[in-house]
Amino acid sequence: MGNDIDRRAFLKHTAGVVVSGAALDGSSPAPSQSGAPAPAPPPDVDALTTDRCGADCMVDVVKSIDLEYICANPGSSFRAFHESIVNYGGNAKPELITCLHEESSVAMAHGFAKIDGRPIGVMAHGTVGLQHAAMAIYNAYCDRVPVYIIVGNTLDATERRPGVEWTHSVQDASSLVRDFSKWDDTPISLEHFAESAVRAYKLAVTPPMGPVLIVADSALQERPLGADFRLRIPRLTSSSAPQGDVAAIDEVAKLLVAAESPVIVADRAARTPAGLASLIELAETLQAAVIDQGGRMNFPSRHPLNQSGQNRATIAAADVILGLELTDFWGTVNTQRDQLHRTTRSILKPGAKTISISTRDLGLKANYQDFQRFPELDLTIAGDAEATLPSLVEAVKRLVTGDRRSVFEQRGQQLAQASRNNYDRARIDAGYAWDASPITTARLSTELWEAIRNDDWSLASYLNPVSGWPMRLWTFDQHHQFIGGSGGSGIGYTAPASVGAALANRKYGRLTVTIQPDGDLMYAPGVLWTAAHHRIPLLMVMHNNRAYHQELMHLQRMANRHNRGVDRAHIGTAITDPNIDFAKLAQSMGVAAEGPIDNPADLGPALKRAVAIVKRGEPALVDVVTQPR
Amino acid sequence: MQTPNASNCVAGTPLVLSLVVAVVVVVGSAPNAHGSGGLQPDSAQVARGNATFKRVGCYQCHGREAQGASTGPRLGPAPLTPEAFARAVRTPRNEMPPYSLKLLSNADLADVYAFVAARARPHQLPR
Repeated sequence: MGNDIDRRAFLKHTAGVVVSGAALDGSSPAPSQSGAPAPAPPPDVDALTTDRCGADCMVDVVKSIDLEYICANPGSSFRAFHESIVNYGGNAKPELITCLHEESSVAMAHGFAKIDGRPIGVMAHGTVGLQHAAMAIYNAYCDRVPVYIIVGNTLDATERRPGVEWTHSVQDASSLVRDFSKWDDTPISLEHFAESAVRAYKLAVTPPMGPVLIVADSALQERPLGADFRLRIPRLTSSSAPQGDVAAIDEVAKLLVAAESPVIVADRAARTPAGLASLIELAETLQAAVIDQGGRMNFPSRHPLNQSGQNRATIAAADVILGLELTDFWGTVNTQRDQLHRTTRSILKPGAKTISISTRDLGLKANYQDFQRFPELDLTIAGDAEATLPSLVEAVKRLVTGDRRSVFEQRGQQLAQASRNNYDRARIDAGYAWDASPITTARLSTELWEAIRNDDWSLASYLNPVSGWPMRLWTFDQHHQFIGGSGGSGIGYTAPASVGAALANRKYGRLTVTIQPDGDLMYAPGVLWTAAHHRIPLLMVMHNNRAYHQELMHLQRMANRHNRGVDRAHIGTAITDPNIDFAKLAQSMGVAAEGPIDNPADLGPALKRAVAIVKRGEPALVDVVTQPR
Repeated sequence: MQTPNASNCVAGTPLVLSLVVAVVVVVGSAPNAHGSGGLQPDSAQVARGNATFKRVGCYQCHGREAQGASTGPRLGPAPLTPEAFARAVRTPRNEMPPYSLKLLSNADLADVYAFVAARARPHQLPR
């Protein structure tokens, strides 16, 4: 009983928010701060139940910010919040998605946000769960993607149960990931929770976006509340994205209109379909070459101005280069040679002007080095590229004269011819080793395209592991058709992010496909079960090259450099002996699957069968034994 | 497989010249080289080249049929000139890991050249 008294005292002084009568929509006057926990029972009565608890208020808060889902692997430090979601909250908005690893939870939220534009929630232990989640949080941070993370913790040492609750408690939970998250807080009252939770959401979705964390203390979650308790929840007002300075935009427009060979390079530029449309408008107004670096679906793959297939040559010929949300401007205009002695070389034409529009400088932190080498630029604008593009388009249009328009048209015709040539070359290149086994990534991509091209499809995987074939061969022209990569290149992202993207696409009836690297899936294959359990339709086509191939090539580089040969480069990099049977793995978790397929003639029919299953609303997996890249 | 003292002359001109001689000897019998076509491939040499191509890891970046990938360009069926091919293997100017004589003899390289030159023409994708 003494502990109960201490607990009430703690809550009175730390959780004291309250109130009777304040509406959940925040429209009523602010409540008092006096704190009014549930009426204390008489001294000789042991109170064992309560009809309301602090976690109910937390659910009201997350409902107010419209989190559609919360992905979680269960944990005792947020047991009350979990229970309130499924019971008090009715398990709807947010609906709980059962995950088998916290890294999967965060990566699912990452993939979801890249389709939907809005974050969903993640719940995790503030200690072991957050440690599991850390890699995926780093990916989301590097990728500038909002993820809303609620972590459980028991701060009051006198309240902790002996044993595990101590090992699962921490002084400052968010410190583990503070170097690579955008914001966090550890509220000590329910009102504090409400304010910080709304603030966290606002910050997460304001460019540069990023993951945020709120610690939900177990004492606050489990605090008994009176039936008339009401929590005032602040109204969420989203910030408009920061835009570039008007004078600077005019200067950029002058440079672009006067340029003979302007190039627009986009990486994480198009956050939404509006960004894609704005970039098309800018490029077409200027008839300028566009290079899409693939951080987002920035520009249609078959657009006549798309010169991504010859990016280096295009940049080398440019007199003005406009970078939009580039992760690495330096790497865009320089090369570095990875030999025994590393050397670098600029590929810029003498006198070429470089311009950046980006929020990148607005969100940098010091410790983790994702900011890349410092680029020397002629003009930099700190502003969100997508938000700035409409002003830039208008500024450019104001400056275009008849003379310049005819120059632009001629340039556009040349670029269109180059684009056609590039596409024709890609189709020829894809035909080499067509009947090879293991199956080429070009054939895999071609067969997959044939299986989905007439549907409303969405590709949720990145392109590097398959040599970029989909972007070379398929017609990407809508924003949801591609979501870019992981951001931090932390392996284990693709499978859960694809399931998250498929979850976001489900309400639109889209066919989500992913080309899934084998090593990536094995980090946390349990996400297949999550897809099956929640009926998330996803076609997962295995790129099963039976190795951590990127690392195998690094080993080969070292072995050759040291004159030792590659005979042992497979040690520690190959995933063979035994080969993993991904079809059986998927089937064991309730996912329809077939394979391994190593005869290319069998691939097309297998994909058609799998597409039919996915169209019924279920996940399916096709295991394809592939060439390395 | 190993050539004595070869590792000291990885980037040396004598090595490249000797390699070129070896490859030139081979290229006359390789099909489709530079579009010359006419001569039949030495199937035994192509088979040896295939085995070497796999053993020394060329396929890791260029694909098992030398078809190319984002990690390494297509090598056949119309390869570089023997001189350029030798330079690219021994003293690459790009990202390619260098192959010294200690790792790849001139005879082995000649076999590899025969293999890549003997690769099939591409399948034509339907429109």
